[in-house]
Amino acid sequence: MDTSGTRVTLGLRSMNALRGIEGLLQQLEATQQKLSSQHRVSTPADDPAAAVQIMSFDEQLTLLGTHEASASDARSRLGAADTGLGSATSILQRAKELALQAGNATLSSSDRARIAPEVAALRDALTDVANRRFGDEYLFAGSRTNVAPYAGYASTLSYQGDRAALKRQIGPNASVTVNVNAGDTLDPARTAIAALYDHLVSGDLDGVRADLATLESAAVTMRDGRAQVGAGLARVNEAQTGLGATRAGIEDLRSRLDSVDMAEALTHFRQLQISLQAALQATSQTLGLSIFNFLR
Amino acid sequence: MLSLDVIASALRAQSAALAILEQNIANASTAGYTQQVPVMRALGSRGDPRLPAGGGGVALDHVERVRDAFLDLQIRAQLGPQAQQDALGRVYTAVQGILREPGHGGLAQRITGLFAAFASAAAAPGLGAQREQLLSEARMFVSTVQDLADQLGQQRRSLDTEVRTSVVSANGLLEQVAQLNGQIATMSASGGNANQLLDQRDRTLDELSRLTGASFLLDTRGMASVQLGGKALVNGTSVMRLDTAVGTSTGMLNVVYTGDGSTVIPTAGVLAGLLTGRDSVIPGVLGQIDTVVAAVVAKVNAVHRNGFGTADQPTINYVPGAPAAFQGVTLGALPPLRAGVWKITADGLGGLSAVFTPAGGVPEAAVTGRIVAGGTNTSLIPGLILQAPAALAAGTDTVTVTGPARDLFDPAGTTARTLSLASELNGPARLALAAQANSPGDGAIAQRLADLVSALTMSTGTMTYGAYWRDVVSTLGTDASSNGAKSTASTYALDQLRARRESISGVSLDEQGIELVRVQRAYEAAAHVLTVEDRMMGALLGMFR
Repeated sequence: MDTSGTRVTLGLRSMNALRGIEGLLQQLEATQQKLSSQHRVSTPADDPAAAVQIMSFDEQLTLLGTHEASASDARSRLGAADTGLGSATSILQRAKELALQAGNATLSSSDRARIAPEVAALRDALTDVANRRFGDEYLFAGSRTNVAPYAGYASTLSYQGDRAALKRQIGPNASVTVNVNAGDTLDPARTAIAALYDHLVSGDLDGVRADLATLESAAVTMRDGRAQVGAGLARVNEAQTGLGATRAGIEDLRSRLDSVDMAEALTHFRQLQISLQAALQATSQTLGLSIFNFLR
Repeated sequence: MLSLDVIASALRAQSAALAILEQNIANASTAGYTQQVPVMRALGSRGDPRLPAGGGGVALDHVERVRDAFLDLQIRAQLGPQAQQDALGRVYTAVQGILREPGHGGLAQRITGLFAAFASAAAAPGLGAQREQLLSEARMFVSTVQDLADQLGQQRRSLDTEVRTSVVSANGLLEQVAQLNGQIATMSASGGNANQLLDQRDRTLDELSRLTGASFLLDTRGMASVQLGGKALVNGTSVMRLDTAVGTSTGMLNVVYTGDGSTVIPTAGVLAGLLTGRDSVIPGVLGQIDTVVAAVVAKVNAVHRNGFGTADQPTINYVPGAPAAFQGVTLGALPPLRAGVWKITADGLGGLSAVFTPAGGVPEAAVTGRIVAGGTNTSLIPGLILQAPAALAAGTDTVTVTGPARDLFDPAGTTARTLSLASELNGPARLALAAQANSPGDGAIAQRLADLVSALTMSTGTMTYGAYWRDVVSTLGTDASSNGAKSTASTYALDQLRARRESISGVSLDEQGIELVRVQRAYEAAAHVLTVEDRMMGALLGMFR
């Protein structure tokens, strides 16, 4: 305030002193708030543009979290499907070996009959694989996850689930199918192995030879299913990497907008404290001075 | 002898001056005290030609009140706007405190949380845990919205109360001004020192400015007249008080003139700030919350109504075509049907073709099958049993599949105060997250609900929920910030003006101290002259002994 040529009264001096001290106290209070809350932006008025950006980042981070969780769930489900299909592939492989063996004309019918129980066991094992669970749900039942794909162990069974593709959202515009269903992928194999057993038991050599072809095409179907699962896993992997990078980027931007530079804030705080001290000292020393201190 | 009178006048005058100085010093720190300066006048010779002109001594002519009236006007013109911005600033602070943005469990986080819960449920629709979590998020959304509406409503009501108390205070001040007008006029007419009363009236007028933004005129009688909105509230010693009346459309208090009952619209002062906050800022935010709520309820319900809960079964409505293709269509066991419309065409030769249009979607690719006369087909549309007539006929029949058509939110609750979960949603099993019945692994409807968070649902299809609310917060923050900047500028200008007033009208102790010395010396000198006169007189009288 330009005080040249002004008549300075006691009131004026105390007004000015108070204003200066109040100003310093307000700044001290604001800096203290920042230091203790660690937020640069506490209310929208502090920095409206930054506040809105922060809110936007928060929304993006939450949605990113849902994609991350979905991707993780997708990975688990696809992994379980892959394991199951791996077991099924081994079973089918063994069945093909037995079919080849049984198709050999040099085998006696009693020898053929001895192969049959193992084939039955393979058929039932494949049924078990089809009925595998993922937590509380049936893994290969499509969306009818509370129903076992196959009921019981008979030779002729019909698939009880549905053909629905279950999807998971692993990105804003990216979804991945996380299941294969037994009806499409395992049923051909199960039916073929069941037919093989029936033909072995009834001694139908032609039937057995035909079964080899059926088993082969069932194997192709199973391989396709497994490839689909593998492709899904690869996409999930890639998505997870991307999500992680996006998260890191957003968190970095957000913290730059909102976090308090501790060193800068502490220095500023210290400076204000020193200024306040000086102001208080000066005020106390000069405010009491007037001619009455010296008149006798 | 005449000289004794001169000396006596000096003693009288200096004593009177001393009294004024003492008054100044005693009130050096009194708020609103205006410095008084004793003005002396040399007295004339009273016509005696023997004495030099102006030889009658000295008298205290008058006490000058050192006050700049124009500065007072300027200060009062600034007090109104500054008080208004200050009061409005307090409202902005309160509203921002209620909204708690950014972060801190405000509406933005609750909206995002709700739709994130939909996404989580889409990934695990069968699990009870995720469904419980979704219900819990929905409840939190409802309670947060209701809390916001409650707190904003409370804030409005407390501003209303403040309006009333401000009017009461203003009336008290108006009475004071009128009374002081009378007292000052009387005292001035009888030649007394009305400076104390003038100080009091000035303080009262300042406070009136601050409260109401009223303007003032000093009329020819020296009385202050107070004007607000073109009407005189104080004229001389008569007062027209202000009153409050409940506005029929708002339920809140309007400030009215007692004269004709018309509404006062203050444009400055605390009242103006309170009224803007109460009638513009808070209802604005409340209205915007209502807008978001209505949009969420409408869009979420529209999607949710297409879904199936864990135990829901579809209802079919079979409408035979003209001619009809089938003898009848019935529900199969545990059908995995989706909500929508099947158009099933028979070609009369056993060929079947069906096109499905899901509710709220586009027609899908046709599926084909075969049927024999008098037979049934259960494979064309799983869950529907088509019954062929004894003789195959060509025709197209329609089967409408409806689910429970359940709302998530009560459709009547489209404002912040009335928002609530639908009453039929009494458990997590009834959340309609699947697109088809009897499919616990299906979360397609949940995913469509989750996708709403990125859909352009607000402002005639230009913004997402989040973007709309961020815009509201941004506008509020910018308004608050610019009001704060104006307030800071006003306060600075006011401080400058007040400092000038203090500099002109305040008491300087140093000045008074020096004046004291001067008066004291003048008094002593006069007293000494008296002594000299006395001695001279004594010598003269001694000559006659």
